[in-house]
Amino acid sequence: MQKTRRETSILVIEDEADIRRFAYRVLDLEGYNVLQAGNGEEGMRLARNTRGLSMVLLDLKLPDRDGWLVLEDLKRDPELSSVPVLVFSVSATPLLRRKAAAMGASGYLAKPVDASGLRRAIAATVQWQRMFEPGCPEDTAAG
Amino acid sequence: MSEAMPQMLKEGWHGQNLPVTNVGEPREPDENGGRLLSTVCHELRTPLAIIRGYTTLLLDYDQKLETREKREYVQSIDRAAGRLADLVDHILDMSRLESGTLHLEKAPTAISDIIQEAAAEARFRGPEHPIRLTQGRSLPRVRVDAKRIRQVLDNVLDNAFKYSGEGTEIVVSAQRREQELLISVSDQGIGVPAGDVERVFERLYRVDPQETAGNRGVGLGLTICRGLVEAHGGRIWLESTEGRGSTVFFTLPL
Repeated sequence: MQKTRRETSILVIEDEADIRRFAYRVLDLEGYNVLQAGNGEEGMRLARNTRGLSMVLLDLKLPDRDGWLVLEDLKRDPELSSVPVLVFSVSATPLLRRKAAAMGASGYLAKPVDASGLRRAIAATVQWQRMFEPGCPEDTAAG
Repeated sequence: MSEAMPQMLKEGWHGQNLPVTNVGEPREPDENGGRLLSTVCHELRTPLAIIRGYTTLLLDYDQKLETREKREYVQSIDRAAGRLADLVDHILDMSRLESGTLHLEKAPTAISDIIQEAAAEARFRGPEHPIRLTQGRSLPRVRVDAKRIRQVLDNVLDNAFKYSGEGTEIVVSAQRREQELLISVSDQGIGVPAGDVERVFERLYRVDPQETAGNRGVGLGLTICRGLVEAHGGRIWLESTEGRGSTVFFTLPL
């Protein structure tokens, strides 16, 4: 059985309060269950304590620790390694995108982004994650 | 692709295999122009992200948002636009100072008036810090561009706010010393490591970002202060004890 949007939990790790609130509000209005963290430590704590976390939106410039290290921790944790991480950063060179991909990120969203760009990126990431869930429509189609 | 672009970046663009361990923050094309441009672009993108985000949030969800909430988002846009304006002003000032095209409008000025005005507005911006003024008796008038000296004071005071704990006192002092006025702003903040005291006036210098989390900025403020003070024929310097506080001094010739 696929999760409804309200059952889809998205963790936003972003230190800039105005950007965090923007992401939170757009995703909340879209019907997702949104959790917020303003730093890496709080983000990891929420990620570990949230059952069935669907994805993480991760800023790279965090006050307490490098966002890359948070990505590494998420991918090393056996309980969280399959949770898609969408990197969310003002720096979005091809090199950084490749680095994120090599470290296991599912996507890279550059700031500034408008509400529709955020919606599309989140929907694509959530959809990608659903392909790995039991009961995915493709399972039935493949017999 | 510029010829100045490091080989690693060129290889990345051409899609060759790149070991993950070699991929970090992009190297800068050159230490002077490239790093400044890169830092400025980075800092511009954050307020732009706020403006674009909330503008489209307001447009896309107009019917679902309450008036109070809309007003908060407009306030966020307004603050972000202010950050952008400040950043652009800094870049323009930096450019004028470096090209020698900064124009000063000097006139005989009562420095105590500038200090009192700066302190009054600073109390509004940072009400959590008591500000104490100590001034020598009957300070002479000095020939300065009042707006630019006020800019120096505002910048130094804002730094004092940023890097010191709530409730700690900030002292602004002015006194005559031979043929110059000596003005200082002291805080009881985190201070600056001994090895960095000379570097704080270099452009793009920032105190350890982990220690100053949440304090945004490009690192041009004190560089511009130095340029403005020197354009008046004065000097500016910092004395600091890490963990106990800093004092910025500057002089203006009489």
